[in-house]
Amino acid sequence: MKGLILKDLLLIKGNLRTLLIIFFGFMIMALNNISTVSFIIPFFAVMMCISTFNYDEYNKWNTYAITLPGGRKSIVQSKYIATILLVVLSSIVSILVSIIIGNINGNINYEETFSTLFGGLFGILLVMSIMYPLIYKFGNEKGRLFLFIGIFLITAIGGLIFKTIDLSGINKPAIIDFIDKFGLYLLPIVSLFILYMSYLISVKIYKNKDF
Amino acid sequence: MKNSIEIKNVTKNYDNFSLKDINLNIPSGSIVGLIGENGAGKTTLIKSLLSIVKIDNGSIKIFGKDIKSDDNLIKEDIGVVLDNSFFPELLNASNVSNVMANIYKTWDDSLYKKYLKDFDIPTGQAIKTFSKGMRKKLEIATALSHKPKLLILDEPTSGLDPVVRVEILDIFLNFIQDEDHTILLSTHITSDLEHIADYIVFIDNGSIILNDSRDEILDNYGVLKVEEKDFNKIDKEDIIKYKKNRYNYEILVNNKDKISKKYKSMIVDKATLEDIMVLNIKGVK
Repeated sequence: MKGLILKDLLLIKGNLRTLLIIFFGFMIMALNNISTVSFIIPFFAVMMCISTFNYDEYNKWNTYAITLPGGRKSIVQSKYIATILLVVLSSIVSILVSIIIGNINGNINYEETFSTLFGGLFGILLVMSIMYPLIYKFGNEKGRLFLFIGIFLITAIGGLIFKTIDLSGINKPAIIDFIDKFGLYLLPIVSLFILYMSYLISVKIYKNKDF
Repeated sequence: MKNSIEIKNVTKNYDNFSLKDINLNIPSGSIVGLIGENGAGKTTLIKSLLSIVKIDNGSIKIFGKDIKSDDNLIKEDIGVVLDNSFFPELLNASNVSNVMANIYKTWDDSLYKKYLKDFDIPTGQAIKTFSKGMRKKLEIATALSHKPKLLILDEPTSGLDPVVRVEILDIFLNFIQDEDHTILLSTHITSDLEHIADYIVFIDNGSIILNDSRDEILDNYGVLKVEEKDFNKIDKEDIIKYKKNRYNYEILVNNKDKISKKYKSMIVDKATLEDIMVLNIKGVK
């Protein structure tokens, strides 16, 4: 599995130049107002991980990878681990940059910066959690299409639920209060739970797939 | 003789194609060539062996172990070259080694480097800049560098020029020097097999229609090219398949010495694997 993780990291390293350009772009934006852009580095890290599926598919890597010792599960596992590794690393970079810029500017709002980062991370992990099983099931192109449909549905259903709550006259401030108080703590737990479910589904799909 | 691979009653169904009840043993220490048209089922059979596709029925044993239960153990000792399926081409040859060293327990980096040097393959250049021949050679070097006992190769020489092909066939002959080593390769370049294969397995439309030693096949099969009046003199039971050409008939026969004696006025040529393949597929009975 170590080898498979390394393969993804090497692929991303191949795109290092693009990453660096994004990083400097981020720095320029950050100089202006760090708190609103702190999630951008991890966001691009995940995009890079998703792009490795493209390279895999183009050279039919999966077919080859199955012929290697390690088993199908480890192929999926390594994809998730490589992504999480990069999300963690890029978040650390993002935090460090925020602190450095904050010290230079002297006008950083740490609370806002971190809540943007955590909120952003939640969104990123959510997208990844939906996307990976879809890519494993339908391939890259179709997977992406289904992602858009999925996001549309989630938004629509979410909107509908809130609208219903609105109409039904349930004590709305209580819910908002709850989210306000515990949201920041709940978010990582919810994210990790969704991520784990996503992983289990991907493994199941991958184990039954013919290449 | 020990078998490297034992395939029993293997069936795999697709919507428009199926592999039907395949039974096949690949003896250790031999080179076995899998021939057949495009779409005959060669790749499906190879993919079944490597559990890239799941078989619907039957069992496959490699090194005496079932592929369903001992997959990992088996794969440590197999080297694979697939048709158009390898590392993402953004990577380079030394990346491949870094990754493989963390996958195979027995990966030998110095052996890999030696192959690359012999094959003139640059280590730092992305695979996407490679020619088709270079890619194939890199894939073969990769397949050999964990010192496998069994090579499973799907079309390892297709699309390559004769010089590179001879070079690659030499590598295979070298590999097979060790009595424990076995090669199963599929190809539609049948002349390659006439040089190196010990056994020939001919698969057509999802079934094995011929499985014999190369010498047996090449010594026994014959081709007669005759005009219509001679064609009518030949007993139907002597004909395996025949093909009517514009000016003559081509007839595939078995036991060519007996046929030569029986029809003294006609010339019986040795059949090449290509003759056998084409006449079996295109000919009629």
